[in-house]
Amino acid sequence: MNRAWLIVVGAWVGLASSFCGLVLVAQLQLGRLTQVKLELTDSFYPPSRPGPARRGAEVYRALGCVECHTQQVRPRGQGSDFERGWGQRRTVAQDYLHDYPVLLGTVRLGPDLANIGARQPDPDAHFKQLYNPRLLTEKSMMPSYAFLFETVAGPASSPAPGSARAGTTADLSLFPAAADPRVERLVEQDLHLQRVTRFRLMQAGYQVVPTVEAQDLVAYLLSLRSDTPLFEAPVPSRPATDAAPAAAPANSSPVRPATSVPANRAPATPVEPQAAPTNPIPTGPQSRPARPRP
Amino acid sequence: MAIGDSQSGPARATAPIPGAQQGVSAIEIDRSCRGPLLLLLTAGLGWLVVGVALMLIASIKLHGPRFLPGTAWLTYGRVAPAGLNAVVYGFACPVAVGLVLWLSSRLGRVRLAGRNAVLVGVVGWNLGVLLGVAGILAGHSTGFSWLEMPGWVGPILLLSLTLMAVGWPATVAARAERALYVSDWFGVAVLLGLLWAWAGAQWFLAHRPVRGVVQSVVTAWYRGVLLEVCLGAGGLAALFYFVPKLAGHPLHSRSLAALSFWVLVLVGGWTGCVHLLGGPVPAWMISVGTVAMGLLLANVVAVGLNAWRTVSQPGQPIRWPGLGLGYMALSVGCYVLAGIEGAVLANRSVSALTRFTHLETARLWLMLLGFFGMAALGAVHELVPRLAERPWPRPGLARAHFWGTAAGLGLIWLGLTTAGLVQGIKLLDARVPVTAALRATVPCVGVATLGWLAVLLAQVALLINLGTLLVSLTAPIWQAVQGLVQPAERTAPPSPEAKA
Repeated sequence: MNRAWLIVVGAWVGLASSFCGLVLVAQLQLGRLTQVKLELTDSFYPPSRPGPARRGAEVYRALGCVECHTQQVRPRGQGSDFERGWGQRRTVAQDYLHDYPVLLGTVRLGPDLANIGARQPDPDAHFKQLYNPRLLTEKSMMPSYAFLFETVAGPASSPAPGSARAGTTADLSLFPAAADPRVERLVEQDLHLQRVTRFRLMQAGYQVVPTVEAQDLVAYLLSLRSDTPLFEAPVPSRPATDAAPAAAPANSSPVRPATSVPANRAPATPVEPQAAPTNPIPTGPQSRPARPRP
Repeated sequence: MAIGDSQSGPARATAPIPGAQQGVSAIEIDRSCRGPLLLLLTAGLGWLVVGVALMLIASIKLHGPRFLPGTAWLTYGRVAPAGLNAVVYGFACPVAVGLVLWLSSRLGRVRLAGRNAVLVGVVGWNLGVLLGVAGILAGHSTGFSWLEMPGWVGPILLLSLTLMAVGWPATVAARAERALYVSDWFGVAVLLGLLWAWAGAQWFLAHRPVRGVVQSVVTAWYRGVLLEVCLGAGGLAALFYFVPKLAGHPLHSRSLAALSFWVLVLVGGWTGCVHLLGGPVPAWMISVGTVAMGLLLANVVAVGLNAWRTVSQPGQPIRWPGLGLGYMALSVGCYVLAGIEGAVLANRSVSALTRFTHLETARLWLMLLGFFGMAALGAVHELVPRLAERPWPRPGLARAHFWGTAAGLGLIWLGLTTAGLVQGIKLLDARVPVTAALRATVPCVGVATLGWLAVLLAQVALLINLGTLLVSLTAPIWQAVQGLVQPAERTAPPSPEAKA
C-alpha cells in the first residue's frame, strides 16, 4: 500500500458506496412521496400548515426545541411511547412530508411532541408552559421562555382569586380578559393578524401578553398531530367496521380468521383483498392511499 | 525523545525503498509548517475553550433550568448545538486536517506545499465557524443535528477546506520517502471524507433540500461519516504515528493497520443510520447501521491490539517517556470503549432502553473528546514545541492540562452514562412521569457538569501555556522594534521579553 492513488481510490469507493447506498437510495425510496387522499373525509394528508403554524415552526427551529423534544413515536415494543400516550400509532415518513427541517430529535429531555396538538389542544396551557413550566408541573426541568412574552401594566384595581399571593412567578394565575388600553391595542393587533388569544397572566398589577412569536409557536404546537390512520400505519385500538362489518371485535382474537388476510397484518387492520402488502417496511413510494376509519 | 529524529520510529517500520532520496531534515520540515500550523492549532484550541465553555453552560442548564434565563440566545436549545459545533468545526476538523498536513510532510520528508493556501484556508475556515456559531446563538440554526450552522456558511467552509487540503496532494506527490506510512492512508480518509461529507450534506440539506425524512437520512449519513470516518481516521493517523514514536518501537503490524483502514473506510460511512433507530425510516437502513457498527468492532480490536503490541515489547518494561504517550494511551482506551459502546447501543433491543437518553451523548463525547480529542491534544503537546523550536514554558501547566482533561472526560462519561441509564430505566416505565425521570438524573448530570468544568480549566491552562510560548516567539520582533525606536539609548536595560 505504497501507491497513493490506490488509497485515494479505495477511500473514494468506500465513501461513494455509503453515499449512494444511504442517501441516493433513500431518495429513490422516499423522495417521491406525495400527499395522500383520505377517502372518507375527502381531504389530503398531511395537510399543509396554516401561516401562523408555519411561522411557529421557524420559532421552534430557532429556539432549538429539538435539542430536548423528539417528534417521533416508535413502534410498539420499542420503549414506552404508546403506554405514555404519546401517539396512537407509530410515526411514518408520510407524517413529515411538509417539514423543513424535519425535526425528529435525538434526545428526550422532555416528552415527545409528535402529537402534542392532539394531546393538549388548549392553547392557554401551552402559553403557561412556555412562560413558566413550573406553573403546570411543579418540578418541571424545562427552562422558562418568558422572553417570548411582554409584560404590560394591567388593571391593578381588579384583584382576582390568587392575585393576593402575587409576587413570584409561581403565583401567576390565568385571567379571562383585560381592561388596560395597551392590552386592548395588542388584542386588536392580534385580531388584525387573525391570531386571537385570550391568554393573559397577571402579576401584581401587570399583565403578561404573549408576543407574536409565542402565538406562532403555540399555533405550530397545536398543529403537531400524527394520529390520522394511514395504510402503512393504522391506528390499532379502533375497531374496523368499514371493511369487515360482520367480523368479530378486533380485540377478541389475535389473528383474524379471514382467509384473505396476510399473516403479517396487524389484527385490527381492515380487510382489503386487493391491497396485500408484501413489504413489511411501512414507508416507501409504494405507499397506498390512506383509508381512515371512523 | 525520538520525535525530532526522522530515522527512527514509524519510518523504520516500513521497508526502506532502495534509491529513495534523502529528504530535507526534520527541522526544516517543521519550519515549513510553522506559520500555518501554529495559527491553525492556536485557533483550534481557542475554539475548544469556547465550545467547552458553552457545553458547561448547557450542562448546568440541564440540572438548573433557572440558570441564565431571560435571553433567547442563551437558551439551552441554542447553547448546546453552538457548543457542539464549536468543538466539532472549530477544534476537531481543522486540527485533524492540520495533523494530516504535518504528517504528510514529515513522513514524506519534504517541506509542506501550498503554505499560503493553507494560511488563507485557516483564516477563512475560522471566519466561517465564527459566523456559524454566532448564527446558531442568534437563532439561525438549521435544526439538523451536527449541521446546525446556517446554510450560507457552507460554501465558505467548503472553499476554506479545499484551500487547506490542497497542500496535501502536492506534498505527497513530491515526497522523498516513497513508502507511504499508515498515517498517510488515514490522512486520505480525513480529507476526502470531510470534503465529500460536507459538500454532499450541504447540497442536499441547504441548497437543493430533499423532502421529508430523507433530510434525516442525509443528516445521519453525514454524522456517521464525520464522526466515525473523518475524525476516526484523524485520531488514528495521529495514534499510528505517535504511539510508535513515543514508545520507541516500530509499529507492531502494518497488516493489522491496513485491516483497520479498510474496515473504517468501507464500513464507517454506513454507520450513521443507527441515529434513526425506531424512527420513521425504512427498517433496512437502521439494520445496515447496526451491522456496520458491529463490523467496526474489527477495526477497534485491530487498533487496540496494534497499539498494545507496539508499546509492550516482550521482556521489556513499558517506557513512559513523558505525557505524550499518556494522551495516546487514553485515546486508544477511549476508542476501544467507544467502539464497544457504539456496537451495543446500535442494537435494536438495547435501544428500547438507551435510545434518546444521555447514554448516546456520553458515547458521542467519549468518541469526540476522549478518543479524537486526546489524540489531537497529545499531538499538539508533542508538535507545538517542535514547530516553535522551544519547550513548553510551563511544564506544570502541561501536566495540569493532561490530568485535568483526563479527569474531566472521565467524569463527563461516568456522569452521562449513569444519567442515561437512570433516564432510560425510568422512561421505559410508563408510570413514571417524564419530569420525575429527569429529576432522578440530576445528581449524575451534576457530575458531568463538574467534568466539563475540569475540562474547561484544563484547556484554559493549555491556552495560557501556548500563549506564553507564542509571546516568547514574538520577543525578537519586539526587541527589534525597540531597537528601532530607541537607537540612541545603548545603555537601555534588556526588556522583560528578552529575559523570558
